Amino acid sequence: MRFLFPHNFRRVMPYIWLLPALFIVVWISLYPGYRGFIWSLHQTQYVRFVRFIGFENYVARWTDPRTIRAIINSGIYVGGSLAFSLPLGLLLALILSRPIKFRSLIRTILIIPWVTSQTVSALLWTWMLNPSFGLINYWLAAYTGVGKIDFLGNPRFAMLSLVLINAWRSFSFPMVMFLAAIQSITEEIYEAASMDGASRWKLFTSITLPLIKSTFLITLIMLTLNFFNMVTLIFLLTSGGPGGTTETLSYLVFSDAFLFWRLGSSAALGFTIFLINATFSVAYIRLMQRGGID
Amino acid sequence: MRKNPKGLLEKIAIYVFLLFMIGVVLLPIFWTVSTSLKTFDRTVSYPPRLIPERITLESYVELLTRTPMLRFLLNSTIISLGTVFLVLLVGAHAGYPAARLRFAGKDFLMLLILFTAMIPGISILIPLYTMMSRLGLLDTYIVLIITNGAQCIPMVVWLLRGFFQAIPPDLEDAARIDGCSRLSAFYRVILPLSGPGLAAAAIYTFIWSWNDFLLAFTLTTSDSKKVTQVGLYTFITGYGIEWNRLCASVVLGLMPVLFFFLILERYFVRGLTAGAVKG
Repeated sequence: MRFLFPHNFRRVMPYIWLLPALFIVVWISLYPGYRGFIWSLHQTQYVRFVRFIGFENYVARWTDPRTIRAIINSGIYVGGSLAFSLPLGLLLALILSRPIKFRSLIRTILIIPWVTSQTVSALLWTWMLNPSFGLINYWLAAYTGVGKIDFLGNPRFAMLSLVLINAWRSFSFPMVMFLAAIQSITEEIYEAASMDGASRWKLFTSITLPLIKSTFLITLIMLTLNFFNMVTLIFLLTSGGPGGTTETLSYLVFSDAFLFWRLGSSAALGFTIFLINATFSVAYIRLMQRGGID
Repeated sequence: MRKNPKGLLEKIAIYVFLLFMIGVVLLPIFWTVSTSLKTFDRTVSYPPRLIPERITLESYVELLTRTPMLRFLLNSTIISLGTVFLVLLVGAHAGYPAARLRFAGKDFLMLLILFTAMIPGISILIPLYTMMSRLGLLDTYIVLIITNGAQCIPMVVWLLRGFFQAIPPDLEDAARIDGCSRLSAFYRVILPLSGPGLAAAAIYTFIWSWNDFLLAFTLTTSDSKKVTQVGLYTFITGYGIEWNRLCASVVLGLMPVLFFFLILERYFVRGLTAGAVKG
């Protein structure tokens, strides 16, 4: 290597180290992303361009009521999943940060859902919620007055079921993150404060919460991006149905492309999602900065 | 210790809650395992029993002998291990300059790598498909190794950068004073000390790769290259209502990654939290 750049090897060296990573990332992620954007500007027939139409795909999509509903569904899905998984994760982290019997074992078991794939989670719960032979419906029918519910096939329950299943799958991540953050807070701070007479709740709100703010932000961003872009779980549980009640924006991108071959349209939605992703991240960061962390 | 009735109540509440959460986590898995050990008529019998009356392995036998399941598991293993190898190799070499060196455009390049995480996976699927089709790489192991790798590299670079930064520079400096080049010092000093970081990156990548569905679904089509997740999907239509068979396939699909995770859990957790927690 040295003989290739004898005079400024020192200056070039970092770039050489980075080259393979950059190459792969640009080739596999950035370039296809760019191609996707180009496609979004064309009218397509299967995998061929018919003609350049500028932003027509975007306008058509953004004014389509189906898209509007998909955005709302995405909001419900992401918001609902966060509303369940974040507090649950925080609560469990608080509990697990205390000396509890079998703490290690309990923590291990509670991480398991995060390790299951979306496919496996979907199948596990499809079976659990099976209207005819599933465990949940059996309990509902046998022990309560409520009859059997087709959780995934009933428009009133499908989105709720999806959100809960996603929360089941996801709570371990914030739990682990918060646990690490809480455990990094030294005991002395708590001791000093409680010696000054602070109540447990005060300790929590004035010490714990502020100190885990940056972890909270990172977790929030990662989960939001994860949920907003999720397709597989939805595809395998409900395929956007019933009646489009679980059709999220990301699912729409998938179905437009894979089921209807409307590639230009799908690409336009895809680029829209990318913009929303970027906006989320920037917005969260700004919000937190104003809230007073570095 | 003073007997504290309120404290005791709280303790009980905590344990009850934990027990409840453990139940919520394990029940679907237990139910699926249980179903996988039943015969078909027991699967659809009413009332359903949590513990099968008689245990049979017929679903597993059929799965392993008369379907490509074993092949799917093998493919997942090959691809996941390949991805781990690629990502560790490339990621470590990228993490080092990120941690130790100063150079023009460093921030920009780092942001660029992280920025790719914003690109929605679904929107690159079709362009990737056409590109790989033109390159003749569809339906190969290598295509999945590279594409899975591309998804994991940003996180791993970030992770390893953190681990490398935590190693005191004096050790490297000592080696370099003795005449080692940076590269050599990297291999002889930094890497050996980065065991936990590399393990964390490895298990993160392995699980990500094993669990991926969309990339495998899009880029591979033949049974000889299909991975477990896609295989499970094809079983859904194939097995229709035969849930005992389907549950057996789910169990087989879950066990390897669960096993891996249980062994390396410590590193998995470290990987998740590294770089996210200050100090």
